[in-house]
Amino acid sequence: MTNLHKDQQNNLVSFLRHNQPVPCNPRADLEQHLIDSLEPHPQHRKLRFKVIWTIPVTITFRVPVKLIATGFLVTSVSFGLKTPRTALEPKDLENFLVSNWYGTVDSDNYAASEKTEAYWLLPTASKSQPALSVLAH
Amino acid sequence: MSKMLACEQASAIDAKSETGLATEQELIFLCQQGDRECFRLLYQRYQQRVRSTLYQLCGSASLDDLVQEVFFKVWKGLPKLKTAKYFSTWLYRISWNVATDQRRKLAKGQEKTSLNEKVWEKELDNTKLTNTEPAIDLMQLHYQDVVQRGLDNLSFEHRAVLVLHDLKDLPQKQVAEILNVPVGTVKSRLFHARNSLRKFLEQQGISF
Repeated sequence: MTNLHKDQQNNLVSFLRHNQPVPCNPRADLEQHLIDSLEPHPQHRKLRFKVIWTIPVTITFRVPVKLIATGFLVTSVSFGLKTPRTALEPKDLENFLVSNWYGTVDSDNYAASEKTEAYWLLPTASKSQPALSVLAH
Repeated sequence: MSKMLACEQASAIDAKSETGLATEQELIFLCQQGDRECFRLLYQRYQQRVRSTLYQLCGSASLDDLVQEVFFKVWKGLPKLKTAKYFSTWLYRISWNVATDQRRKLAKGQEKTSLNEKVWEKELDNTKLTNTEPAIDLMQLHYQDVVQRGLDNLSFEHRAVLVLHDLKDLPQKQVAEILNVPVGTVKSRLFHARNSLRKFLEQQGISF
């Protein structure tokens, strides 16, 4: 088997490139025929994508909107149609306040609050304390 | 309306494509989205390479059909193509596959028999008749014919490596990717192909 020298190889390659067979021109209508014959890309994935996402979107957006609308309607109807409640009589209100006042500041609770205050307020100088004195003996 | 916009978009891409590499990626991306006008531009850009490769691998018999088949496969397979930078290699791979199928058909059928020589004569006549370059001389036509017959004498594997590497100027690594063989195999086939072709050319009175 003969081995080609580098120069021979280069000469061969350049000869081949220079004299490489050239095909005849394509048919005039080949390009247009090709473009016209192209089938659209399959859209199955897009359809599946749409189907998958349509249901959650419906659930996520439409149902809450309906619920809110229904709730609003029910509330407005109930407020609008029902007769307005009469205000409490002043006497009843006074009785209610008096009955509830007692017991709110009973001794135990008050003591607890006092303890609490003593816990979180700074000490006051209400009681006089003996002054510190340093006696030199 | 949308078609007009697509045309304008495709033309703009084509205008930019001479300057930038990124626009080719855009073009391929638009083709992947199903844009036919962009695919037309892609066809116009690559058809000559595909055509001459197929011609050098299979001859001129049903060349238009083979080119069309390659681009049909490209159109069909484009949505699956991951990266645009592999497009050229992928296109040559498809061309190689189509050429291989054609060779098998020819080997099985009656076309590849004693008619072969007549086919070559016819091809040469077609080339002479349809070639629009006036400056091409008879000597070059003769050399082209000799080279084509020399290629035809090679095995299909050797021929493919020689065409892709020496005639299409593709690097050995890319040839290996196209043919799905190791680089060492490409080197080996190239060595044998050159030696065989050189011998044939010497028999035709062409020495180096």
